[in-house]
Amino acid sequence: MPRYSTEKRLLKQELHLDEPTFQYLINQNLLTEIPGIHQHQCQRCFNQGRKYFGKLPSGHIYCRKCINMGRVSECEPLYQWNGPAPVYEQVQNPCVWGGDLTPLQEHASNELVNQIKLNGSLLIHAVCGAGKTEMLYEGISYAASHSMKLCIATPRADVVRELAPRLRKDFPNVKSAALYGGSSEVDEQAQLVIATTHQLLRYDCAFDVMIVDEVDAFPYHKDPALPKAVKRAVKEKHTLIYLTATPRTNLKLKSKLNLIPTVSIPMRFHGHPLPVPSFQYNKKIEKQILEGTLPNQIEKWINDRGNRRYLLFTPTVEMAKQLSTLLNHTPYVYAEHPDREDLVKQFRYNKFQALITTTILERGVTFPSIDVAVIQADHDVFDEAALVQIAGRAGRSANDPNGNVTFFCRSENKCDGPVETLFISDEP
Amino acid sequence: MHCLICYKHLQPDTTWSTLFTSAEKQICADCESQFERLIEVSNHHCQICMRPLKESLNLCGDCFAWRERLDGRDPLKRNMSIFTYNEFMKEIMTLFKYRGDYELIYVFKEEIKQTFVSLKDFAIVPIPLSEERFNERGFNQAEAIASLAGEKILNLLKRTSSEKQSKKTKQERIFFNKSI
Repeated sequence: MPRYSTEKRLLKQELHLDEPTFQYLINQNLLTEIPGIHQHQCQRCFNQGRKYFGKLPSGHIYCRKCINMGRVSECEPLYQWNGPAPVYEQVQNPCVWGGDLTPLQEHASNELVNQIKLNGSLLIHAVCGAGKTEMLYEGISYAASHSMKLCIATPRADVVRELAPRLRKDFPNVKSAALYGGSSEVDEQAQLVIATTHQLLRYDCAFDVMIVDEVDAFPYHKDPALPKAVKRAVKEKHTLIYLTATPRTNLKLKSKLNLIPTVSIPMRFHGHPLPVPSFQYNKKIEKQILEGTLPNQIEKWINDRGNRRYLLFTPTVEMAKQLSTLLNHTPYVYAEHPDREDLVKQFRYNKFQALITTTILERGVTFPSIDVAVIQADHDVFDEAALVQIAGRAGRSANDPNGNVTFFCRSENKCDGPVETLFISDEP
Repeated sequence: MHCLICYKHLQPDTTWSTLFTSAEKQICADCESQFERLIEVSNHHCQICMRPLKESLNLCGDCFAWRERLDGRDPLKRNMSIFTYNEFMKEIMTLFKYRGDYELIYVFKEEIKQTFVSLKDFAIVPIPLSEERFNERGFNQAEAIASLAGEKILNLLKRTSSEKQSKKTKQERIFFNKSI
């Protein structure tokens, strides 16, 4: 059995088979061919938009939307393993983590295991820094010791990169794969898959347990293909868990109507509340930065940090770049930055004091003992969820639970409405 | 219409000049502005390869070396380039050549057509692609570009090796053919 092709829909080149083996598997009906485009829909990424299709000189239609995963077209079909399903190990005592859960964490953890036993679903609504990852450990252990395949999916590649090493340390005997665009790993029948939601587009009927972390994050909540990918990636009998600190309206509504069992954890694991941001106003903040002067308030804020480390969030790449120049070439990252992975790693390892970032680091990442500032917090890209998440980056460790969170806004009236009330109502 | 690169909706702006030309916009102004034209980068170029040069020179170092090496029998008379190979172009080329996004060829349609308008007495002969590569990609990128000129294409060349040029260094490319 070709180990990496089970439970997936792959292009021929992704099968890594030599031609005779490939032909043999096709003839034996062990590999099934799925047309790449069927009834004007890409059979990998669900794309139906006319503008996302192209035509090859041969006249065949191809999908442009998911072309970065390899081209799917009318003449480039997908293949799916049709032989016996893989059998997963029963890993005894898979978890070696020795920490304790708080009573609230334990409550969520028990509920999670319950739902896995019932093939149910669950929303865990936990404030940033509640210790969501540890709440999953019992559930992961249960799945691993019952021959289940489990996936933790998140819209953010940075979250995958942070989560995978942690889980591997705490579950050393569970075979795992970390998948994101550009990762060199493949899922060769791994029992624990940590992946971006985009990577799920390659799966079909694979997982017994699916945990979608940061379910409200971009692009998951904007791209209808991704929830569809989650649905296709799970087995018929499955458990579906959503994790978030800031659920969007549709999930909130479902939870309120009791359509999905919900556990709420309003307290951080160390018992301290989320830092409340302070606000500073400056009408010209954007103009000044883009024209090459550092606004006084920001300069003062930075000087006040002393030796403390901090993150500066900017609404645009352009502003991140400008700010970096104004601040002695403080490193900056954004989604397409070629060294993004490396810079985040270096910041994590204390190689420099500050990092400028777009919203890519708004969630899912933990740097102990940092302060955060948001430049132009009233910009459209910083919606409520983003601001709550950003504030949640501060004060994450028990021995330093009070980070400074400052929002620099252009206009006073836009800031106090929803943002401040949101923070107050989110407190336990 | 949507931008071929970023899929943004294109507002067809009808003015007297667009009304009488058939040139239809394929990409949005944002994407357009990220391409750099060689003639905008500098107004003085190497007379053979079109690399931007200081005013005092006619040939760049590479073309000068070729002339020395080949003793004036250089088969290359002149290279014409339209765009610089900046980061944006690199991304587009990766998508076009390596991912096989054929539609992107239409981004360059008008520009290529215009370039050929001013030329006389020529034959278009695309560099062929190995069969293996052709089957992978589904098209020959040189032929795709050539087809935009709207002129007859002559397939006169045959490939004798299927090694990828992109995997070789500059030195390896130059000295691949030992007889030189």
